[in-house]
Order: sequence, then structure tokens, then C-alpha cells
Amino acid sequence: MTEPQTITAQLPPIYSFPPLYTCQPNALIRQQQLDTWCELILEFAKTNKAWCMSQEGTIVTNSEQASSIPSIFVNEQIQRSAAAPFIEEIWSKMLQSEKAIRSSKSTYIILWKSLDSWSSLILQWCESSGKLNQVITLYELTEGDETLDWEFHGMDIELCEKCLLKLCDRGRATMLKDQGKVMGVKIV
Amino acid sequence: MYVRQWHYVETTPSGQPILRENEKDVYVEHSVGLYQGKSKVKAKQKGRAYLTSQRLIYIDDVSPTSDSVSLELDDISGVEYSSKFLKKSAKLIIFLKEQDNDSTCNVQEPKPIKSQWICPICMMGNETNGEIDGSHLPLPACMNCGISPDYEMIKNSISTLQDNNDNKAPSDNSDNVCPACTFINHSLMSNCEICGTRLPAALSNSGSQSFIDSRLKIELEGSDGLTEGEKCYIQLSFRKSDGVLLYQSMDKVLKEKEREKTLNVFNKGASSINGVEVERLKSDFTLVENKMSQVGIAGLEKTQENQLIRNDILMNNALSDLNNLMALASDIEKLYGAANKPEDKNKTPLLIIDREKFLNKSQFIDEIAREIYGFIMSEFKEQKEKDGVILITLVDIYALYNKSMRIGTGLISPQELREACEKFEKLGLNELRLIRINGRVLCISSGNSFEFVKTKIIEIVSFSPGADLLRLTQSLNENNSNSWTMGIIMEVLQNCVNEGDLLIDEQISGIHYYMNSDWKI
Repeated sequence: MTEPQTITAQLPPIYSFPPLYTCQPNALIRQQQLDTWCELILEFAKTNKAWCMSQEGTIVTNSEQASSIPSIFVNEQIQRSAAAPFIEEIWSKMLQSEKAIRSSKSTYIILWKSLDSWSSLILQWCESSGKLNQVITLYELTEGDETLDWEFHGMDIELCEKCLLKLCDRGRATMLKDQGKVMGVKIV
Repeated sequence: MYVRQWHYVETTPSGQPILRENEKDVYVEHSVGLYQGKSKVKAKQKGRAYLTSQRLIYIDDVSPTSDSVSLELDDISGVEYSSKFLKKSAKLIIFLKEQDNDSTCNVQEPKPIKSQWICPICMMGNETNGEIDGSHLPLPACMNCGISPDYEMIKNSISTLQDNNDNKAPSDNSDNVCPACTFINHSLMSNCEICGTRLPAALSNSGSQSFIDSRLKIELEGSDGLTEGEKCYIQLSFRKSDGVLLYQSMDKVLKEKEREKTLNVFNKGASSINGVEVERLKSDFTLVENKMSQVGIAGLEKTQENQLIRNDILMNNALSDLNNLMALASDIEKLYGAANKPEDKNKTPLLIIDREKFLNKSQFIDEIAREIYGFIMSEFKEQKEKDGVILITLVDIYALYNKSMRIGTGLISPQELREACEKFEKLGLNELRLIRINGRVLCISSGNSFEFVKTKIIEIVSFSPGADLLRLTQSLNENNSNSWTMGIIMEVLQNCVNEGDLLIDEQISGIHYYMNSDWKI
């Protein structure tokens, strides 16, 4: 993971536009403002390879380490920050437009690719690496050496399960469960 | 026949008469028509009659600036009231003074006449002010022997002579100077333009008959039935009310005017000044001093005594003059210190719109509406000239108007103000109208003022993003005095935000405004 100097540098210039942080009273404008926020969050997650974000807008990693990157909702450079009710509104918009899903740990899984494209990417990997009709563990899929070059390397387990479920729905995978926990998957 | 007593009257654009310096309005009557003699005067059949302390002014409802006329109260000899009868509406008949018998209204003294007579006892030639005939008793005493003669005994010796020195014709004076304020009027004016005082030259100006004011339009529907030499009259016809109030107040004003004339005699009724008996100024017969009276010891004593009295009076006059001068000087000093604004000095007297002068509320509201219109137009003239538009909230108007115009005459309520403003259009005052911005704030506006302010604000915001209210107010009012009020600017900003033209950035320090360039609607 690369360590960026500031969030401002990574994001489009609108991130430094002060009115972005105030909930606009005009409803039509507010919708566009929320859209802008959603794009910014996706962009932010993508450049930082973040799978999960907290309600406050900070990146949540698997290693449980405190992230050095501050919240996206606070812009130190222009001394602006979004208010809590407005952040709430942004998240509900994210959920509504299926750009994020609520995870079990009360964090948000950011979908900078949709679930379908993730699942087809996994399928693609299986096909290209000859893993069809084999049992693969989830760890192998997300942390294994063979997926290092693939975008879904390091993927959040919960997100991975959801992607595999999609494949199950399409009849291309079977989940192997142990004590109610998904341990492996067999993709056909 | 042209009745010369009609005068043109100046009005404000909102249709109110412009009063003279000392003029006060007394009463306003609505729905009045004008008659000259027996005939209707064309285009002057529906208007208001303003009775002031100096004039009776007719303001036409349809075209107040061109069809309004006035009558000097000095020209009116009397009024009569004729009540409503069947189809005939109530009328006020106003008799006008004829040119010839005008002199009664003036303070011009009767020509000094001296009578000479010879005392039948001592054969002394006496001179007496006034004309002597048998009706005045007792006759003055002889200067020399002190005995009043019998009229029969002197009637043969009486001869009257006119004092030529005092008989200066006022018509020589082509300047037509006002006796009250010294303003030099045009030679055809009958009353002073500044203070309304009757001019002495007006009487002798027989040439004015031929002069017709081109601004004055008097057209009659038929023959007025007036004949030369007879009493000239005009009528006011009351279309709605019975007009009794106007009649009564007019009668009162005329009587008061008459009384005032007799009031201004100095030292009236004073019998002595500083303990010294003074000769009765107004007595019919006083002995005139002439060279002949200064003979003998009595004459010497008399002259000595007179000299003393004269000195005394002179001294008194000098002292009181000095006092007056000092008082005047301190007044001027005060005035100079207080009045720095030159515009205060030439403020014309305003109509006093009192509730009591109006019969019903709607008339009062109409009058208020005219006044408010005139008030706004003059108060925001600078802004109008500069930006071409006016936009003020009703709340501001309410405060401004009540504070500057209504103190002492009864404040108006917000409800009345609103009703008055709603009447603008009905009264033909088209430049201003009442608008509601943002669906909640009532404003008085001229032209497309709202859009004007809006584009101006957007211009400023695009030039300096992040401007707050204070900054906007400052830049809007950069070149003129604070004429765009906070209230208006706030409403316009609100509108801009609602329409999506501007974006807000809310901080503890206030709301900052930005152009909306990214999120188009």
C-alpha cells in the first residue's frame, strides 16, 4: 500500500471546493452533491486499495492497525469537514446506489467494482489458472500467491463470500461450509 | 369669459400639491367637480379639493400634473353652501373678489387726506388728518386756543388737500417685491411664489387680465352665465359627500384670515410707552404739526416735550433692535452649527395627512399611498438614478416612513401600509409596485429590480468566490450610500440558492457563497 501525502492530491479538484462540505438546501443540487461524494469515496478507496471504510470515513484494514490516512470527510487543507448528519446521508446514498454494502462489523464495504464484475473476475482467474472443478479455500483466493497480480488480491473476506454467492446463484460454484463458516469453494 | 383667479398649481408626480413655505393643509375633500359660473369645467370633474391655509387646490384624479388648478383664498370674497336637491348634487359656491374692489383685502392704507380749517376764534389755520364733515363729533380742538369749533362755523373754511408725497403708485415698482419675504416676484404674480403673501402690485396690475398662463387649461362645457361687473363665482360640486365639512372649514379659514389682517397692527391699544402718553395712532382726527403750530411759549414747550418723547422712543427702539440683532445672530449661529446638510434647508413643507381630515378609511389610504409613493421616489432617488431600479422591503419602508413622516400625525399600522401599497396601480402610480419575493417577503420594487440585484450579486460572487453577506453588502453599496439593505440582499441570496445559482458553505463565521459550476440542475 502506497502512503499518499494528502488526500487532496489523490482526488479531483472538487474535493477542495468548500461548499462540498455543507449540505446544500436545494434538493436537486444536493443529489448531485451526494453523487459527487460517492464518486470521491470510490476514487479514494480505489487509490488506497481500501475495501472497508468506517462510518467516519477512515479506512479499515484487516490488520486492525490504525490507518495513517485521515478521514475523507475532513479536509485539513481548506479547514472544512462534513457534519455527521450529512455523512449519514452520504452513506445512505452509497448504499442506495449499491456502491457500498454494510458489513457485519458495522463498517462499509466499498464496491469500486460491482459485485458482478468482481465475481466474473474471480471466475476469469479460475479459468485462466486451471482451478476449475477444484476446491479452493478463501484464503487461497484472497491472500494466496497465485492471485498476487489480480485486482482482487487482499479482498475483504466478507466481500469475497458475497461475490462467490453470486457465482453460486449462477450455478457456477458450490460453497463448502464448516460449522456455518465458508471454508472453500468449488468453481465449475 | 376668462376668470383670472384660476392659477396653475404644481404637483408631485404622485399627484399631491406642492405647498408653499408657510402653507398648511386644512382639509381634503374627495370626488369634487369644478364649475365656473353655471357651466362645468371640462376635464375637471373628478378630483380632490385640498383646502390649505392659503389656497383652495383642485387636483385632478386622472391627470394630476396637467389638469390641476388652484384659487388663492385672498381672491375669495365669500362662500355659500347649497345643499343637495333631487338630482342636483351639493355645491359650494365661491364668490370671487372683483379686480376693482380688491383693495379691501389689502393692507394698503387709505390715501392720506388733510383738511385745513380756520379757527373762528383766533383765526389760526389748522390742519387735521382725515376729512371733516358734520358727522364726526367732537371736532378737533384748535391748536392755538384749544377750543373745538362748531362745524357750522368752520364749514366754509374747510378745504381738503391730498398729500402728494405719500401717494406713490405701487405700479411704478415693476419688481413686485414681496412685502413679507422680500422675494422679487414676476410682475404678473398675484401672490408671492415663496410664502404666498398677497403682493401689493397685484391690485394695480390690470394688465394681468390679458395674461393667460399657458399651463392652465380651462374649457367650459357651455356658457358660464357670468357678466362683467356682476359678482363672479365658481362652484364646487360634491359627487359623493355632502361637502358640509369643506364648507365649514373653508368658512373658518376665511374668517381667520380676515382676523389676522387686523391683528398685525403694532402697539395696538397701547396708550403709553414708558409712561409717556402716545398720540392715538388710529384716531380719526389728530392735529398735524406744521410750522405754524410752533409759535409762542406753548409751541416751544410742545416741541421740547416732543423732542424728549422722540428721543425716548428712539432710544428704546435702538435697544430693542440691538437685542433682536443679537438674538438673530445667535439663531444663525445655531442654525449654522446644526444644519450641515444643505438639503434640509430647501425642504418644502409637506401635506399633513391626518386621519381626521378624511371621511373614510379608503380615502385616507389613497392619500397615504400617494405620500408613500412620493416619499420613496425622493428618498431612493439616488439609487434610482444610479441603478435604474428600486427594491426595498416593506418592513424597511414601514420604519422609514413612520419615522420620518408620521411622527406627530399618528403612525400608520403595517396593515394600512400594505393596503396603501396595493393601491399604487389603481391610483395610476405605475412606477412602483408591491411584489412578493421568495413567496414570503413583500417588497416595493420598480422595474425588474429583483433580477437586477440578482445578476449583480452573482457577478460579485463569481468575481470573488466565498463572499459572505457582509462582503456582498459592501461591494453592492460601494459607490453609493447604504441603499441596498441587508434584508433585500439576504432574500436575493436565498433565491439564488434555491434556484441553484449559488452554493453555500456554512461555517461558524457565517455563510459563504460560491458559484454553482459543477452541479447543474
